[in-house]
Formats: sequence, structure tokens, C-alpha cells
Amino acid sequence: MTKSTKNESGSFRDPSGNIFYQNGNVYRNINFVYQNDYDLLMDSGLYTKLSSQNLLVKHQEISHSKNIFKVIKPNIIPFVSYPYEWCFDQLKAAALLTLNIQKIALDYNMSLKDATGFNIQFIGQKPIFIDTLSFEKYVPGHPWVAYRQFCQHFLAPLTLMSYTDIQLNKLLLSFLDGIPLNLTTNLLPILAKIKPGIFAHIVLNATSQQVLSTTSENKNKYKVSKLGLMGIIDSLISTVSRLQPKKYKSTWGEYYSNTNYQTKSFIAKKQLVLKLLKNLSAKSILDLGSNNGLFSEVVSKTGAYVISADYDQNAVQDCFIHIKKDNVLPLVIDFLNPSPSLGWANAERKSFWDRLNIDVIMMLATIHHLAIANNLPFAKIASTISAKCKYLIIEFVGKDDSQVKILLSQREDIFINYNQSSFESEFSKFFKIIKKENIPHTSRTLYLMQSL
Amino acid sequence: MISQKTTIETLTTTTLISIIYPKVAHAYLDPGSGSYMVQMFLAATVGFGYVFRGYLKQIKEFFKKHDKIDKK
Repeated sequence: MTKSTKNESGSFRDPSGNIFYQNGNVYRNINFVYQNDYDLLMDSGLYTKLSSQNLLVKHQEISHSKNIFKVIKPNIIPFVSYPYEWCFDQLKAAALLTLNIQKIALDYNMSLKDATGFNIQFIGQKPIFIDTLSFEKYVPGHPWVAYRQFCQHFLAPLTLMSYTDIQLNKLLLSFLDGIPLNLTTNLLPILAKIKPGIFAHIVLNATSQQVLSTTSENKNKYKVSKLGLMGIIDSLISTVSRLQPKKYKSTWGEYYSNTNYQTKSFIAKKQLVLKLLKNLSAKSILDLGSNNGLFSEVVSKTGAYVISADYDQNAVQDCFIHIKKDNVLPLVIDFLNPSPSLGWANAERKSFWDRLNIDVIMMLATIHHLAIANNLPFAKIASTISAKCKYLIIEFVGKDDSQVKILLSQREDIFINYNQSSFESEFSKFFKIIKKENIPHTSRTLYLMQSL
Repeated sequence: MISQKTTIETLTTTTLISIIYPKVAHAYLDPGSGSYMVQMFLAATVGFGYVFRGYLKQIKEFFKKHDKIDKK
């Protein structure tokens, strides 16, 4: 290994191999212990079948030293995200992809040995399976080893988001190996628990784990025919497919239809944002506080990969359903409390900030929410943002704006420094202001700034 | 209308839960074997439904084909 080689801190559980980085590329070591399964994956035609349909990440084999079986170079995922950052339909799409892959794998006499949410990534709106070493030879009569994991990682959060509360996907932050099925059972209403699919895969599964599991049990005595296994996968697919997100009224779900934006100013704002982006040749854009992704879609036309982040489940859900673009990735991110580093030694799953390395951060109509609704000083916002981007496109919304008036009507105005000159002077400590444009028919101003 | 699959699933699972619930949980759990047991039970019920639906699909396709030929 050369000096620039770095092992992925979250890749150590599977003895079959591990991920490492070298000169900006991602590689995967494959150990001899996985030799037979890897050969079967490649020679059976399963790899070609899955990768040609973009269900499994494509890779190429590269030259390597003799003490390792193989080294492969998988295609790069533009931005790594985690299940607790996905909206309902993203998690559902990831679940159905996992089941679809397991179904196809069984046709090729292989089976998934893992079914965690972390094995799926999104490229824009499309989910893709990234763990090439998750496939093992199917042993006739053997149950699906990853069945419980699938239920905990996918079925449990989806069921809770469907029947209890849409925001319960955040439980995945506390339970990295999926939400325990007994906890899920406790949180579900009786109406959900009597649904056959949920009863079988969650309630019964939870009970049997508590009651029947002992280390003295001989696992080999449990036999499941391939037909039965296909039936289980089929039943999981229909259970997941029937789940719908629980409706709740949020502030942001219908933001654009509720605000007093005039159409003229809206069109002008779109054109201005595109004008400011021109000549920056941005490859990546983070739209912070993106709502339903309206402006993410606008800036995606530049060809940049856009992360459309908002804390509101409904808004992100709306974005995921309506914007079908390969270069727009919607994520549920609370900017005031983004995903932390998690897992073993707090290094298995990186924090949202640690994963960020962005050309342009876009903050449209968010500054007043940070500064007024959440008491964040301008200096704090500017220093944090400047560390993560080359350029910043930010909209300043003054106290005379109707939306700010609404915010201030509900609290005492303690924000004596909330004005445009103070905003400019504080941001100038971390950025160079390149352009400044007034949005027609509004009192709002758009800035293009360069990080110092 | 409740499907045949739904009825079979509900009946079997309700019977099962009444048999195995509640008992004392063991201190050292291997979560895997619990789910293996469930899979064995489920395979028997949903496996039947899977085969049944497979046949049903074939029958439907058979009639669809003949329907088309007749119309011609």
C-alpha cells in the first residue's frame, strides 16, 4: 500500500474483503475466503444480469499483489447517504431493490448474506446495490440468513413510518443494525399488527426471536424449500409495496403554494440563480433548505450533481416523487442537527459534514430561519459554511419581508444586528462577495460569494 | 374481499402466536435461529400462495391467448 492509501473506517465486519481509497478512487480488496462465491457471482451471469440493469454497482478487476485474491475498482457513488437521511419512498425503493436482487440471485443459485440499508446508495433518484461481496452460494433447504436483518433495516422503519409516525425513520440513527422488532411491535397500533404481512414478518418474527432463540439450537434443523423461500420474498415484496407514508401536516409540504411569492419574482429568481452559477463550472451543488427541490431542479440543468437537503419529510418526499433526475439526490437533513458520526469508535458511519466536499452551497430563503427562528449569529453560519464549499449563493431576506414579519410576530425582536450591512460585514470575514443582485419585485438580495 | 392467501396467513399466524406466546426469553440470544424458525413456518403458508398464484397466472394467460385467437 502506498502512502496515499486509506482504509474505509466502516468496512471491517465482513471477512470477505474491505474497502480502501487511493488517489481519489475507491477499491475493494477481496480475500481468498470469498474466492468461490466471487467466482460464482461472475461466472454464473448474475453479476452481468444485475449490473447491466444498474441494480448492482459495476466494477473492474485491477492488478494486485499475490497475498490477496482480487482487487476490484467499483464505480464511484457521487455522494454517500444513509438510510436515516432518506424519505419514506427512498427507503421503500431501497427495500424493493434488495428484495428484487434476492429474487434474481435465487434464480442464479445465489443468495444475499446481508440485507442492510447501508448496502444501498442512491445515484440521483435511483437506488443501487453497492456491496459486491454480499452474494453467497445458495444452499438448498437453507433459510434466508439476512431475513431478520431485512425486516429490521427496512420493514420495521417503513411500517412505523406508515402506521405510527413518518418521522420514526430517525430511530435508525440509534439502531444501526435496524430497529429491533420487539420495539417496532410495541410502537405499532393494533390495526397495523393484525395485517397479515406485518403480523408474520414483524410481530411473529419478534416473538420467535425472544422465545425460541437459544445458542444451543441447531440451526441446520430448520429447512426451507426454495419455493417457500420465493414465497417469503414474494410476501415481503407485497407487504412493502402496500405501505404508504403516514400523512401529516407540515409547515413546508405545501410551502410554494402557500407563500406570497409572485410568479414574476419567482421566474426572475430562477434566472438570477442560473446567472450566478454561470462560469463557476460547479460539479457539485448542495441546496440547503431545498424544500421540495424546485431550485435543485433548476440548477441541475447545469449538469452538476445536486444534493437537495431539507429537514421536512413531506418536502423531501415530494422532491423524490416529482423530480426524476439522475443528478438530483433528495435527502432529509436537519441543517441545525445534521447526522452525526456513528458506530464503532464513532467512525463507522461518517457525519453529514465529514462527507461534504462541495463546489457550491446554495442557501435560498433560509438565512432568516437560521438567524431569527434559531438564533444563529451570522458569523457562526458564515464560518461553518465557508469551510465546506468554494462558492456560496445566498439570499438575504430583510426584516421588511412578509415571511420575516411572520417569524417576528411570534417572538420578541432581539435581533438588532439582523440587517443587510451587518450580514455583509460578517460574511465578508469568510467570503469575498463577488456579485450582488436584487430579486425583482421583492426586497430580497442574492449574493455570490467565494470562500476565502 | 379477503383473498385466500390472506385468510390462510392470518389463520396460521394467529394459531402460531397463541402457541408460542408468552414464554420466558433466554439470556443468550442468537437472533438468527428465531427468524429461521419463522421462515420455516411461513414458507409452508406463503409458499403455497406463491405456487397458487403462479398457476393462476398461467391459467389467465392461457385464456387471454385463446380469447385473442377467438376474436381473430
